[in-house]
Amino acid sequence: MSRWQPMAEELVRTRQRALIAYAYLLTRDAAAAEDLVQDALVRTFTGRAHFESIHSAEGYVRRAIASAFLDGRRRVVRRTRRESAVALMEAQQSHAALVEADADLALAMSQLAPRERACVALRYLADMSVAQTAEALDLSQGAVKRYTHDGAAALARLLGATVDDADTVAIDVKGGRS
Amino acid sequence: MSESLSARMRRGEAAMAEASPAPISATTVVGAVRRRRAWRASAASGVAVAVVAAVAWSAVTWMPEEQTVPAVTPTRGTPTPTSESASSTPADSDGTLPVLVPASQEEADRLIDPSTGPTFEVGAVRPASQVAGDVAASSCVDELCGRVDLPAVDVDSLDRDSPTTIMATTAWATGEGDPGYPLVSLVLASPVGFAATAVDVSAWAQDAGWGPVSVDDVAGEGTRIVAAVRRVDDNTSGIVMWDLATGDSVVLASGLESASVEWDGSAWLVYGVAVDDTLGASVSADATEWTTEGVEVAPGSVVSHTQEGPVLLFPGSADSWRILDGDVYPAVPADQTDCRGGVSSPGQPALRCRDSESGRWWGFALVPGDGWVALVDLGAQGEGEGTLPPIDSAFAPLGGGYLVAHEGGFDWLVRDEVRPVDAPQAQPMRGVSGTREWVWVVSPDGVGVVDNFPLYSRVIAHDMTQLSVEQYRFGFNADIAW
Repeated sequence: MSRWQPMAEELVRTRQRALIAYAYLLTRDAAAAEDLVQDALVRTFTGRAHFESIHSAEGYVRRAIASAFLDGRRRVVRRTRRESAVALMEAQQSHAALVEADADLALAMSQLAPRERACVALRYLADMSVAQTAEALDLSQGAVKRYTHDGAAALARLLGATVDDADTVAIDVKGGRS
Repeated sequence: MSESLSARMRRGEAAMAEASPAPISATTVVGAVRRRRAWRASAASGVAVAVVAAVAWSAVTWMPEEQTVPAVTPTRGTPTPTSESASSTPADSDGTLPVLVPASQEEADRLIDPSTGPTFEVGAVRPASQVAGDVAASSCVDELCGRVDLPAVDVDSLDRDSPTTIMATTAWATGEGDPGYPLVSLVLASPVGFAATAVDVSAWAQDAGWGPVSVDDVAGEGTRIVAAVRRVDDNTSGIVMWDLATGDSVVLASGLESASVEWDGSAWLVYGVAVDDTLGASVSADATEWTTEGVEVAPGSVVSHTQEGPVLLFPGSADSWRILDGDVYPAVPADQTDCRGGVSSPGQPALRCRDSESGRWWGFALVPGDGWVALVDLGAQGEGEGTLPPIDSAFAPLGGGYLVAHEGGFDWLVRDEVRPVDAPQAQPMRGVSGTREWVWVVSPDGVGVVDNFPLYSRVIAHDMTQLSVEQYRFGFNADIAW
């Protein structure tokens, strides 16, 4: 069995729900989040031969999700415009469980511009540095800092949280996330 | 003391993860990865031109040479369409910009073979190490995506050679110490062997101060081309119109996060997204009129599900609708159906619907003409329990119909029938989501499937004897679709 395969299977088995939740915070669309995660998983394990740990593989997938999210927004917009009210209603129903799990966060994230969302997600949920985030999203480091600062400030205000220092977000490379 | 933002976000993500379903099948993912890896290994010996985007080039019409493109008058706010003009710079082979070529002229000849059709004849192209000007070719993940040095388009030749395809081709160059950046050209081609560079987008962007760019979308009509051009430096996009007859260009909109264009037969439809607004507008052929009214009306949308089957709304009026054939597509109540995507104009993503009871997916596509809907049984998800569409399904417009890749092989959906495609080499070459992964091309000898992931390309030939030469030459829109 190839070395990548057990890693891929374990990642799908143990982390797909977290990855879908992460993608949902970006897309605000449960179906799109599922598609994004599936595609990112395939891309990740096609492009890389080996990951040292599940954690590093997950980080790579999260980066691929955020990047694909921004790349794919054009098509998402088109599709959204063309969906009927009925289809939208059905889709919204499928989102209910995710939204209800943390309605405040879902609502707060929806207030951010897409790039702010992507930057905040990579910096605060994927533990990426400014440089890594800039590379993943094809943005300058200055732009990442700006989007992260603006997005984080808005989120903190909406959620009643305190903003972490954008340049010193805790990175725990050994411990997994819950 | 209030909670930190990172802790708050992680708590929320964990709660959502608890509430999330687990629809993705590990079997499906692993299978897709295996196929791609196997194909990549086989593709190492055969690389084709990297095609990054393309749409149909419709029938060529003429515009008086003295007619110029006027400024655009927007009718509503952000993002503000602009009217800045600049001269386009057609491809120039005198070396004013570095031009990448395959490692030898013979290889270039094999790429563009007038006897068999431009861009469709694919031969093995070794990574180009040749230096053109002061820029060396860089590799695209082990392989080079070479830019062929085609002649600039002669407007007179448009009438004579009737290009049917417009595509954006990209090569990667690297200056000393610089990372790779794209060199993009818009190429016109016809099945009878015509091929020419219409616009050297990279040169135009350099003149316009845009820096390195890529092209997300492109459409052509008459002597005009409209493209969604993305700036590498700040990742914003603009919508640019070139007029090949006058050499002028107009920036219709800029500063967008993403943008796309299409020609709907009478006007350009341009879409864009900015940080705080979206743009959807219809622009007249000559860019003199601009409106946002009615642009968001969705042709071909699924508007309802009935016991007789899904009801679709077609372009035209609100009473132009159709119930899909219940003998072919099972009538599934709405609460048992999960639809992804949308049926719209040719070249757009097709609709995939899943019958939750049987687990099977059905694909729909709108065929050019009278709104005829083709459909195909895409099959079930496979061994896993997932609820996503089969990962190996893709649609592509071809010959007045659609090519569809699905678990059983390839079908060519044309009016009133579904024709299986004899594709002996097709098994490992399935589309993924029908989006950026695959490009479908046609040649006089058959149908090719080009995988552009991750920047590898390869064409496999299929026997398409069902498609007559006459139909091929005159009856199809040579779409190459993502």
